[in-house]
Amino acid sequence: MTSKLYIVSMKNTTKPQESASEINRQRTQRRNAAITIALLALALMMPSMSNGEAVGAWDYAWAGLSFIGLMALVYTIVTNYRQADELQKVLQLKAAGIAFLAVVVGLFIAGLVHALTDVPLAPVMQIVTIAAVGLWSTLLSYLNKRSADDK
Amino acid sequence: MTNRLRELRTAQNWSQADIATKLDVSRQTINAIETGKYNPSLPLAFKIARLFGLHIEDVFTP
Repeated sequence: MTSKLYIVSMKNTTKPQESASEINRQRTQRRNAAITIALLALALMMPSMSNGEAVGAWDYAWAGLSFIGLMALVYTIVTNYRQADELQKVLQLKAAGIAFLAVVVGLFIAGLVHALTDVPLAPVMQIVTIAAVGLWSTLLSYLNKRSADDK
Repeated sequence: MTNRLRELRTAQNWSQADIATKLDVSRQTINAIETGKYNPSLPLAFKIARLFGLHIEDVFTP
């Protein structure tokens, strides 16, 4: 006969083991996320590289590189979503929905700031983009942790 | 919605990872279902019931 106390103590000492395929999937996602963040950071730095003179070949090259960063972000998001199971898809969509709302509000505020002050639009939009990606990642981590807690 | 997933799983001496592999979902999903944090989709609920050879209403209770 097992007592409830015994089952509770066993639950607390046994660490759950992920399957090999799940571990590989998480490793691939972390690698893709790291590459994407690096490319996106490079892409967001591109507008600052412009010297403000007439558009030349280098400006087109920088714009092309920033587009690669954006495509890397899209690729990572789509790949992660396709590999996710139903709970993970729900969590990703929840995080994306809230981050989208933050982007809409952020862009509206950016437009107001640009219209009412001398602050240029490009740096404000960069800040909105970085904040939105950060918010999305934070929300996803929080939702994943909350669904994984054994309480 | 409540479920008997943990009870049925431990009766078979399966870990959460074992059952996750059998159902082709993540261990996180199995844990979330067992702790009541997530209600599975209908196809997944039917797969779970079929895995234990039971009817869906024998596993999940509204």
